[in-house]
Amino acid sequence: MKKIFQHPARDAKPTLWRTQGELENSAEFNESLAREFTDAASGRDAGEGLSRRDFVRLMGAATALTGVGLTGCRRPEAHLVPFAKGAEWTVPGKFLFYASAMPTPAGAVPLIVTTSDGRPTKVEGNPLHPLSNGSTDAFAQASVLDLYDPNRSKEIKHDSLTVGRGDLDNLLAKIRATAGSNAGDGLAILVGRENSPTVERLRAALVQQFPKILWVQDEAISSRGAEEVFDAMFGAGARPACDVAKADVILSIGSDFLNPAESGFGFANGFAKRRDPKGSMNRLYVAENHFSLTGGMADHRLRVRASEYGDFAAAVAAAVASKTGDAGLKSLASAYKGTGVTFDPAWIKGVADDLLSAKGKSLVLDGAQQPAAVRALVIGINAALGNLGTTISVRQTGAKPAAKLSDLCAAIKAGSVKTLLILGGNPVHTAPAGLDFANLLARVPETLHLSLFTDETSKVTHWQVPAAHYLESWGDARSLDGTVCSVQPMILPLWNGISAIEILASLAGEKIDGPSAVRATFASYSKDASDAAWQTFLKNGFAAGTAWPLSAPAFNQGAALAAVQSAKGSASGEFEVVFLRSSSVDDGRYANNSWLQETPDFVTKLVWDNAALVSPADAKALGIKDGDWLRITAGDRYIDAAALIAPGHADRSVSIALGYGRNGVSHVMEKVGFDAYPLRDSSTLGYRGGVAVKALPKDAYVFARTQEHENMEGRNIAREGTLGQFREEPNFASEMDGELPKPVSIYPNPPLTGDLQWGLSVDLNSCIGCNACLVACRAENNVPVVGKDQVRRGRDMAWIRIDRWFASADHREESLEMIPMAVMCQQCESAPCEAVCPANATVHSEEGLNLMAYNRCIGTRYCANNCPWKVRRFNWFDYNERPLDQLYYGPLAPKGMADSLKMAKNPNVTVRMRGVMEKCTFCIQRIEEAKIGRAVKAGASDVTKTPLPAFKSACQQACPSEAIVFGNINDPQSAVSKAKADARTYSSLAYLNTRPRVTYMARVRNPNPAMPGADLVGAANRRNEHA
Amino acid sequence: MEIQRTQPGRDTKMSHHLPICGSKEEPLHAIGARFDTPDQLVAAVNRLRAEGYSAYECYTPYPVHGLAEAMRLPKSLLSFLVLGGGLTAILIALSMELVPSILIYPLIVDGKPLNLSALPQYVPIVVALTLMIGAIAAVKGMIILGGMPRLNNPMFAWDLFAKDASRGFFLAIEADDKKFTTAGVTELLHQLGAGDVTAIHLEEESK
Amino acid sequence: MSATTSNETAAPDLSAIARPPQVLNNRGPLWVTDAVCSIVEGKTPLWWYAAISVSGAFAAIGGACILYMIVTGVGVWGSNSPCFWAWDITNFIFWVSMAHAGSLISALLFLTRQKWSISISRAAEAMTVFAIVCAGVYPAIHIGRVWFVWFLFPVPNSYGMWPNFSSPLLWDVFAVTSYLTVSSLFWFAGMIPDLAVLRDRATTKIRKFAYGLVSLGWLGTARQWRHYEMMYVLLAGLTSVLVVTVTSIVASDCATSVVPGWHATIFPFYFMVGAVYSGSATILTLLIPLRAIYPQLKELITPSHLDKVCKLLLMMGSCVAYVYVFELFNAWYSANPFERGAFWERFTSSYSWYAITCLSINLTIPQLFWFKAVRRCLPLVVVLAILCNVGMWFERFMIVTTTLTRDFLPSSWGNFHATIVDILTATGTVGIFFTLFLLFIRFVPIINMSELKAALPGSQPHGDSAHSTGEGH
Repeated sequence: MKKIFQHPARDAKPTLWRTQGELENSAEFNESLAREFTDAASGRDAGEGLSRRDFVRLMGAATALTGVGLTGCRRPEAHLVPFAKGAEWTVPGKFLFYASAMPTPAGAVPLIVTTSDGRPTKVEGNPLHPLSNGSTDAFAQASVLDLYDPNRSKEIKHDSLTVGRGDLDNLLAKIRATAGSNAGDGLAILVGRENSPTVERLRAALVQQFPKILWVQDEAISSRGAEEVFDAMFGAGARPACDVAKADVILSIGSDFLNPAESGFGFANGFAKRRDPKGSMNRLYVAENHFSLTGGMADHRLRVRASEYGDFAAAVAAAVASKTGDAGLKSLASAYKGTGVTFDPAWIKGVADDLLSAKGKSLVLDGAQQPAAVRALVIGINAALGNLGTTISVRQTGAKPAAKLSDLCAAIKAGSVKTLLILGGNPVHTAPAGLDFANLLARVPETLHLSLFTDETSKVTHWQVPAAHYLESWGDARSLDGTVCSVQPMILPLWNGISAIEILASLAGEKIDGPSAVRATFASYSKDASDAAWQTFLKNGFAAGTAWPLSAPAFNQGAALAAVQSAKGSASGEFEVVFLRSSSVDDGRYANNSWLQETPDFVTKLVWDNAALVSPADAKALGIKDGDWLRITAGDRYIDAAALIAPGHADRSVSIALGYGRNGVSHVMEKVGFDAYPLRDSSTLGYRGGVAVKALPKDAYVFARTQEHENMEGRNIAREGTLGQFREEPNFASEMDGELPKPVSIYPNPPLTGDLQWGLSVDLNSCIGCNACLVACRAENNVPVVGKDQVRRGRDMAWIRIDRWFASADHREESLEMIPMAVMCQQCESAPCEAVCPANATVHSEEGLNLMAYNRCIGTRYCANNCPWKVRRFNWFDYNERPLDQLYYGPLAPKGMADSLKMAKNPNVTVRMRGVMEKCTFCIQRIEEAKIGRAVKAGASDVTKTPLPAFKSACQQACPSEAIVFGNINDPQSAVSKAKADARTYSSLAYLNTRPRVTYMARVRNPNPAMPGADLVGAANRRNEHA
Repeated sequence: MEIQRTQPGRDTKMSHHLPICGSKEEPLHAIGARFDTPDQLVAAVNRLRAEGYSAYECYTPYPVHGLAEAMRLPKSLLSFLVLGGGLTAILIALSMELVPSILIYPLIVDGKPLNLSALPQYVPIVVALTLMIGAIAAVKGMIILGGMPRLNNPMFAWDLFAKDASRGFFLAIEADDKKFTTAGVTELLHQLGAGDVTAIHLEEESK
Repeated sequence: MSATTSNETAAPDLSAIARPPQVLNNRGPLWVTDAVCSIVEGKTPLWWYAAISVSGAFAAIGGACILYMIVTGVGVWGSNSPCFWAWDITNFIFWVSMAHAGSLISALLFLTRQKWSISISRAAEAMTVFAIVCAGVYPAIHIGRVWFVWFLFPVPNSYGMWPNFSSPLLWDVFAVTSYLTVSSLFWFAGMIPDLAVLRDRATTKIRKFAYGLVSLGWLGTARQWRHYEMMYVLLAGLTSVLVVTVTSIVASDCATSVVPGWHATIFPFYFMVGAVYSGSATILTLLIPLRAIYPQLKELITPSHLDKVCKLLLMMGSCVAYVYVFELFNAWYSANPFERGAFWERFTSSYSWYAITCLSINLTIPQLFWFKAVRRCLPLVVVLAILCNVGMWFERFMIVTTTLTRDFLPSSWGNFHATIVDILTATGTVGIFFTLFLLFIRFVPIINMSELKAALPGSQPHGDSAHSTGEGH
């Protein structure tokens, strides 16, 4: 059965190679080529016959040859071929790892990309990068699917006729020619924010060649407003850099800084580092209008309407000023004209005192979407607290401001735009409604849209150009701190996509040859532009020392005052609508990504939809239940959206996520959510006050939520306490089993004999519930997407889910707390699921894994019934093979999955068929891979003495706050053993005596005794039991 | 009772021309007679035993108590067959369960011990199989010991019996009884008050 | 001497202590034979064609649904997470439990020489067999990959794996198989003499051949009867044990799990009493209309027989009531938040109306049978009996489905909504049941004639006259 691979003749000293062995042309390597697998892999347990575990092990073995420690292997640019064409010399199952980065508006996400058989299948964070701890966010994990999405636009179209690349080149040449003749008059270029030095360089080049060119940069959810304030206050191009890890006391005013998509990387990690109750634990105050990830982590949380953030900030400022006698801050506070609402003075005083007690070690943060006045106040407070230069410093980005979308619209109105190249974003959908962009666009004689998908904008532009995915194209991007990351193509463009850089370069008259444009940029900023340096840049994925210089900020009081005075007071009392970044589709750019569409919202656990979030009180006032329709009217525009009652939401405030309700674009987005963009104006990008909300007499809309019951019902599932409690009784969590019987085994359990024993620990204290693990697991384990209807029927397939608990010791909104809790298969040592499977399809390994033999499963589903954590997932239909909207057609529905989607699958994990049960296996494919690696290293010597190659489970690797720790609990030195030894560790449902290998570390909150309701903090487990 | 029947005659000559069924060419199988009540039948059996007859058979529409005792029939062996079947089943079931689960394919399942201390979990199947095989043994045994399945029988040649066995209690004294003489048997049956005494010959096809 | 003369002598002196007669109007054995056989031998009535075409149609639709489910996926049912079992196992337990009563009535009452059960035992056994057939449908098809069902049997295979003998589901496989086998044997073996009677009386060649074939050449010789009686006692004994075993094993599906609301040692008893309860209700539901259709049965299945079944139902109903109370007490007494939660949710969740219907029926209806008036008013009895089975279905649903929807982690709580496929499959099994029962009425004697005749007054020799009054041994 073994296939001998026909390898092309290789020169003794190859110019490109896959392993050190090949480079040295060593005997072992040649042999291994011929034999496909190593002794260690094929030799061990040969007698068993080819069971599933052997298969996994063999696949791993091939990987071990190249994979381990190959991060830096130089990639064979010359031989990149799309796998569709088949690459004769690739060895199936061999992973290659390349450094790259995913450009996002918040800054590049440094990545290590796993490619198998020449196609990228998985991304991980790049641990070498200073800002990254090797973690990613949900968006980065899901970006792989975007690459292979069969809905991507595939052809260059001109007036909806398919044309060739040549026509496009001619167009660009023509544009360049005209621009050359009239200095770029009438040429406008609209780009998104990708923080790419090359784009900046090309922009400079273009401006220099065609001075009259209009360079516009726009993002639907942008921090432009904030940046203008920074320019004014800290000097042009200066951007604050906050060090959360340094702060003892943090006050967040409507800032979801723990959400990587919102704030870039480093925050969650830095914050988590300060949440260990054994160390010096920080304290987090949050004032926000809806529950955010950050709000869930808060020690004290206040519900504040978005339009009253300013008042809140002013109140805090006043309190601080009165203590410090800081005249400047006092003037700022008094200058602010807000809604005039007042807050619980005890709260304000408590916060102010606490901030002052941590002078220079505190931090006040606000959301990027807020008006200049709020931002100025916040900076003022930080200045008064002496945080500037300690927890807040500035980086000089040297960013040159670009024109805004409004400027572009003005220009179009003036008829001065003849040619418009839209190289990023989807302005027709996302532009503030007031600008009436769609109609203006029609006035431009020649328009071009470069995009991954045929979206609203592509539909109306003359030219539609398929964009290259970042995994298909050369590029570069700056991460949050300014470090330049390399963006390398992992595969030739699947559908002839073209990158913005290519277009800009050809406009600028640069000859594009692979990385040439990026290389040229590299030369411009790198001290050492040698080939070696360039190789290192590609190898490490970033250029060390390119971060923007840090400096202590000089705070411009006058500017701040001016900004504060710019605020015009508004009447309190009427409704406001707050526009949120969706945790699933961002601003709508990921709406085509079914992995993300099926990723539950952080807080509402809503999938395949957004909703108008209203507070329970408002719901009562409006007389609505979940799913009832609301008409939200702002000025002369309104939207109809179904409401969802959101505990902990501010009253007289409606929050709605952007990027939904895009019918007629692609079938994935059909009938998904409600479009909130029509309510946005250039002046009200973050939120909009003075809106009218009324209930519509329509049949309730049906939402699909992965968790409908958010009350623990007095069962101590997620456990939390306070810092004081922890200091008195460190193991308070394990004491919470109360009067439940102590577990007793009536059997002598068979010993688990493996030298490796796998275990996992989840730290509820640093788990922020950001879904990164969930999407990482989906990508790693080929977990299918089932669609809204199936989720509604309770059939979602996610192997790891994040339960979100709401708890309020006194049942009042004010004292409401949120606890996210990641739940995956607990790998019980005596697993209830195993006992009841008649076919022995799920049994235990001697390494303590609860194995699942898909081939053997006949689908009685008894195991899932008997699983106390309900982590087992059943393939009710052939989710992989049948279209999700035709599941019920049975054999009448077309069978098979799109080829490109097949390419996205992890070759080391079985794709499960209809009728079998599946569940988390602790990424057994990675475990076996590591064991092969160890066996290879050990060779003849004792395997068990050989250290295991470092590896992580997919969820652990993705976790930004390092809440998940996985490893060998037999090794007392392993991180997981240390975690499990921690006093906070407990296992849920311990009384069942299933002895889970997954344990949880209780959450510890750090309330401020001086605060009102401090005694209600960290009290989620107060008994409120019935019966 | 509206059954037409020939009176039991005192006239011994009658015995020479008995009603005959089956074909005369074929040898005589038995002489059959019908009684109206179980009492007559039991009495007849007692008398036959006293006379020393051994090869005779009674046919009743339902189990007649005391008949078997009168015929001195041995106790049925069935219970031993069932016991045997049950014991075999226990052995089969136990080996089917224990040998693979403990010796051939030992698997760690629910942390249960891979030895006999987990015996309880194997019991239900043992019980179920034992009862099933026991029951099969009982029915099979009854059929075989009862001389079944048998699609034809010389008695069927006798219309009265074949048409309506449920209308009386029949006795047949077989020709191969050592004391058998047509005259003697006929006489005896008449004396016992039997009706429809008939000579039952074999039929062609039953050869 | 004829039956008429026999009761002249037997009747007057013993009437005082005599039990209610086995057959009314002092009918004799010949009459019994004619009465029972006439049902089979008479011309097929029109209502029979009508009835079987209706039940057959339902059965066919059910079959179609099953086919659709198998080719499309279990998802066509409403089952979901956390409620991985719903109507499938609910109906399985419902049917298999109903079966138990039949075996018990015929086997246990035979062992205890309860002669009144003779005239209903045959129908009861038939009900048992058919109910098991219906029950057997579900475990066979409810799994995700039916075509791999052979993994359940201990046969060597390429995966080098073996069934898991600790799984109650595997116990089910063996239990249900042996139950079907044994109860069919019991039913068939008991029928052989009667089939022989039909053979003898058969007028057409086909009937003679067919009945001759199935009666295995039974002649009713003293020897045959001797073995036959022994076999019948043994089978009765085995069946009685088997009933208890099977119901306990089915109960272990729930009892051996860890699910709060399932994990209870009382379940085997719970299921046993529930089983006989619903089974006796079914017997009443079947036999009373049958008496109405075939008047001659009125004299064989006497009011006093039905009265005794009603009393059985009353007793079992009361046991069920006891279990309900005990369960609740146990949950409270356990002081275990999960146990308590399970039962609290049972009565407060969106499923409360299932529990309430179940309790309000099963706690009240059977208690009505304390009153002789109710027991003797047969139309009313039929209605109440049907209600009892409705109540029992709700109980099964409450146990299986409601419990699953509210388990340990509230985060995974969900609800179950039956789909049309669920419903039509369920009605399909009802169709199968009645189709089989109609065939039974038409083609085999629905009353055990030989046993009945043996128990008639004067049917036994006078030397042995104790029997003639129908008293037990």
